[in-house]
Amino acid sequence: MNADTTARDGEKTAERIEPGPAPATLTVEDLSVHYGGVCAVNSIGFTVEPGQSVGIIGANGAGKTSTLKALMGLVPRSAGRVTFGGVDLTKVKAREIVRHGIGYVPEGRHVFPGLTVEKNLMLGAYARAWRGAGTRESLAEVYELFPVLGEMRGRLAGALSGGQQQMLAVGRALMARPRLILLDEPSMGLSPKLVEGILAVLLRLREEGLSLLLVEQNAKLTFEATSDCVVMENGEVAMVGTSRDLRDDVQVRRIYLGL
Amino acid sequence: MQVFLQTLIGGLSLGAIYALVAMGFSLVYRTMGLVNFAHADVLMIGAYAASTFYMSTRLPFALAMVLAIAVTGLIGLFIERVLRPLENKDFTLMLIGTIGFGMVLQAVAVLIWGATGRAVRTPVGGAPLEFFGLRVRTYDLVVLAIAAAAVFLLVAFLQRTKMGAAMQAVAMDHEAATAVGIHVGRSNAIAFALGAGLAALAGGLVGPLLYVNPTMGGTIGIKGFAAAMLGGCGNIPGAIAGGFAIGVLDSFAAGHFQGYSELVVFLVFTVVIMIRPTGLFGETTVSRA
Repeated sequence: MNADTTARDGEKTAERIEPGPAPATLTVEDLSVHYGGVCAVNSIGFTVEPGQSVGIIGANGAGKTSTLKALMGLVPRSAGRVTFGGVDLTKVKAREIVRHGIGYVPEGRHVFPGLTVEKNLMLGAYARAWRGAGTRESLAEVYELFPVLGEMRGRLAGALSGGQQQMLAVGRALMARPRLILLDEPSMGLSPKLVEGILAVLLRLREEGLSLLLVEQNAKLTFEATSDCVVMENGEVAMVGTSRDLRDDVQVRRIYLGL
Repeated sequence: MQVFLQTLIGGLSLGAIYALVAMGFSLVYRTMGLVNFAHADVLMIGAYAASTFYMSTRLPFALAMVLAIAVTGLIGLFIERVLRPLENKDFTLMLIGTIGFGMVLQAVAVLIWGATGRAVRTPVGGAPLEFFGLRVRTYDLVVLAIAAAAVFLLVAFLQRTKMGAAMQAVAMDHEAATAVGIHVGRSNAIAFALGAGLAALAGGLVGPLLYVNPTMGGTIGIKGFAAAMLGGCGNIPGAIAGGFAIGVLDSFAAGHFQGYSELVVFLVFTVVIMIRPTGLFGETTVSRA
């Protein structure tokens, strides 16, 4: 999805700040998040190279979701530097982040329940030209990736099953043509079979050259979908390594895979 | 039968006005989860502005209405801008802020137009139309037609435009809306401005039916609010149905119970709300309330 962005950049998208053709690296340094006096994320750092897929695993309350929200500017960052493709994201308003090429799939899906599937997707392209040729093209791409969404395009998003809503949330994020996509617990509440489906989608997005940052409690899924992983504990980075090494690590196996 | 039908038509035209007021309440409520208590007084300012442009400046009624809508729209934008820092911080203060704005608007109205109030002459011909022996005031039909047009335009805006879709998205999930790039503050401002415009439309239309005075917002506003509650607060079709229900009820109660009519209207309203606390159409819950 990223590879052909350059070719389409010629279209007239007045409102869209076109992502630069150069692939962008996400760099996070010393990021901290506090809620009141409570520290949720304590001075963490990692990078996501272009086309790389990175997982963040950890138990409930480890600070994974807060990290993603802080990247999106949805919770205030108490300290740290976040850059994406050279742009300092700490100076970018939350609503502008998407215009820099970062898509976000929130925890618990958060689709717009009272709007149709198609309108949900169209809103994903809010930062681009509304009803433009590029938006229609992206819509076709999402329907190709998730045929079930095409079948249900006129249905209200609130009437979809959990798995379908998850696809819709991913599709909505893709509509902005991101270079990096942040996914927060896409497997939450889904049956093992649907988790397989999510894995297949993540692998396909990887193949298409999109950078992924995946936050999960499901360590098995994360190890399969990503090349590198960060293990978080109590708001801090406990371990970093390739997904393969971590999967074979005795301690990680015991804590996260129950083996 | 004839009396019944004539009362019904009178009730419907009054109901159309309550529906406009209720839609204003609902639009702001569904977008921000906020009951705008200044709404009734914005209506009063709209009524004064329309009557001033119409009678003092001698503009055509339609143009006077458009100008009144523009004036109150700006007031709506101003109120939202002042209250915006409180959003997501202190909701109660925001609510009290709207009450405060209502008081300020009343005081401003007394300063500009005086405390006594004024009558507004009907913009369309005096003789009632006759259909099959039924006498209908032309103005009642004008009110119904304008209200219908306003509903149509509002629904078209919400359903067909990018901004309308964005406003609905903000109403449903403001965090997800922010993540796709929607300016939540601007969406709220537009909801406030549209709500104020609807109030002005209602105020301008009600002018020739009632007496325009600084406290008129109280009576019409509370009935419009009741209409919004009756329909299920935040629900636009519900607001319309609620408006007509209150209007017709009002009209029949006035005919049968005279002095006690308001009591009867609110008694019926209370009973219905006790039976269905979410209102007639209210299954949708606004998560931000």
